[in-house]
Amino acid sequence: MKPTARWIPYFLVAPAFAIFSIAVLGPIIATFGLSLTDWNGFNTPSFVGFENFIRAFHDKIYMNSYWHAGVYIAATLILEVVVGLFLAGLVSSKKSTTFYRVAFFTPVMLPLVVISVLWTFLLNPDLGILNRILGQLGLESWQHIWLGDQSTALLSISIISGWIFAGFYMAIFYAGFQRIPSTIIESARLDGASEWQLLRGIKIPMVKNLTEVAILLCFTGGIQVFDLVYVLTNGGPYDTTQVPTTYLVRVVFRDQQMGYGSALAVILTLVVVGVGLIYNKVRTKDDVVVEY
Amino acid sequence: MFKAKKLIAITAIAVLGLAVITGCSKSASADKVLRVATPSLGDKELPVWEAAKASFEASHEGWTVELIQQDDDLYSTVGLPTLLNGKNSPDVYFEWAGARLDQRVAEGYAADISGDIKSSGLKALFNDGAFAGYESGGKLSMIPRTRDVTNVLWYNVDMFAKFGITPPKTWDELNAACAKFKAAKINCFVQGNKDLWTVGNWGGHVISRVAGEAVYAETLQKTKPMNSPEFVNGLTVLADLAKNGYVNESVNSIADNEAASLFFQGKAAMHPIGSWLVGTQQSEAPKFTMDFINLPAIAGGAGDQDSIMAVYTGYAVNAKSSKKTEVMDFFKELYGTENAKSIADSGTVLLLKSLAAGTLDPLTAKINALLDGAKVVVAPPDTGFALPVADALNTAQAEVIGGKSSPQAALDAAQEKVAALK
Repeated sequence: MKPTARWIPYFLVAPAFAIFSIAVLGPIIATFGLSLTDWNGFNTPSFVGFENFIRAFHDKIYMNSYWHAGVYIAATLILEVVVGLFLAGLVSSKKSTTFYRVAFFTPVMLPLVVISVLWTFLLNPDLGILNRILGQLGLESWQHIWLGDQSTALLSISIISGWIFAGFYMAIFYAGFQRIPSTIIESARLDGASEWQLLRGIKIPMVKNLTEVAILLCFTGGIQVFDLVYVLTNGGPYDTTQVPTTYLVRVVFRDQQMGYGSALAVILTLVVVGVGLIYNKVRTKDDVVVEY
Repeated sequence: MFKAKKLIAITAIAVLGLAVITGCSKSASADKVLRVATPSLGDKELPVWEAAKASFEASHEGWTVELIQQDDDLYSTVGLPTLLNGKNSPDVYFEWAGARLDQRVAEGYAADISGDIKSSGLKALFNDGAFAGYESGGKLSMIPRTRDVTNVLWYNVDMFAKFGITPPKTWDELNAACAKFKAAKINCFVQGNKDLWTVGNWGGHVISRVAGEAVYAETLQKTKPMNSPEFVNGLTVLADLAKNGYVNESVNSIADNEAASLFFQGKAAMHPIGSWLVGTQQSEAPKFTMDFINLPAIAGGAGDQDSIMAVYTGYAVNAKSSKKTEVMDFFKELYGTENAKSIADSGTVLLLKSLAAGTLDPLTAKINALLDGAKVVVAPPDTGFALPVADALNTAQAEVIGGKSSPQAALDAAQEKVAALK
């Protein structure tokens, strides 16, 4: 049935647009508006133009927070995506691997805050299990303030993140491997290919699209990482694990600089959207991969 | 086409009618709702408030009391501004005296209650001198709640006795005591500074003793630079404690509650924190024996060497509210003898006549005596001054106590941050 009046389509779209405006568009515009003001939450916001943005680009902690996020993303690309890929290769090469799949995936199902608190206990420098075990093994010199030393804090967070999310990427890659036609796998096996050769030469190339998605997920998740860092180190020690989100929360919630915090949020949004667009642009399509 | 128009008309009328009905009903009932905003009251204190609410509602026909509770951290940061800026802003709300209260008064959110508190009879319930520190611009702007000492040195009584150490009165005696504990491979101090405010308070108190209260306040009010020689000297005193190995190495990686746990487990001789440790000890380590001393005197310091660091809390009446009388009536219920005793039993001692010293826990009574006898009270950086400035100082102190930076370098960086603020 064709609409008889020009306004009917607008009328039909209106509810969805209203919800989108309230939930997405409105807050984005409001945040941008606030980013141009000096406001502590109580006083009347005063217009300061782009002063907050200029300040952000001179704010060493904020600029360094992107570097920390970059290091975290680089580390988790290996500890999550690459490890996840190999775990998927491992579990897909054997039969009856349900136990291992569930075991590897379990950390993904637990709330991040719970896991973070758990690791805080494990890595506690005074009472934590890790330091105790090292002590009992006679490795006192290896005992460390894992989350309180600037040389190990970010690495510790990355390793914990890898422990959690490797299972997630394993599940993605495992699902991809299961969709590779069995005839290809069987043919390779008949030709004498080992499991390693199968993984390297057939399985990984055939899930290239999934790898690209996994990298994108790892990047977007990495730049937005918050819970883990907030609970484990709260950006410390000395801001060496400060990432854009934790710094943003500190500026807004602790220092009550709503205007400046809004500017930081706008910049972060632009960075995430920008990188996502660039990534999509440079992504190549390949016909030999398994399509979903 | 006709059907569509009819549908739109009916929908519009229905939406309009609904808006009118809900709007009218809300405005009619809002007149008799007393909104009270507070950080989380806890399981023990909440029933007392509920009882006061019930009494108030029984004696004020048609009125209801709405208790708005928020998580402590949320409330002290974005929670309260959001509430005050909202349509149904609270009539009375918890606040910290000092810079925060001055800010509320300046922004038109805190009323002068000098006359109302007296005429209502609420004033008569308080101790003499209970209102000192609750004024802003010479006008009483808060109903007092508590005064908390935010930095004393708690010590393990048994451990001090075991090593034959008497509570130090001077900084030299403190260093000597710490040297003994270090020789016995015991941490002299345990502190959990993951969130920066604990060392911020401790170090702030030390700096005020060395630099003098005036320099301390002027610096945090941005009229003096953060990296002045006086501040560097003050921070050096704290740095020396860390340099000598008297502070736990994990200081910047554990939270305040973890440090308290370690103290209760006998992992350190002393723990610098506020008076609220009494409540924590009673609930978590009732068999643990502890006592406290005020910060020992620092030789050559420009400040009052008996000063205390304290924070005053209370309730500000929203200047935009027309329910001052009801606010006073509600607090007369809440601060009545029975309720005040129940609140004291939950660990919060109000500044009321009905709570005679003999009825209090000995440590709480000793803290109150310290508060009553103090001639100079220093405000903590984060509740007495602007938060971004406090944050700069607290970060500098964390770097120094963690051994990352020298006092001069840390304060230079702090000054750079402060200079960038508007």
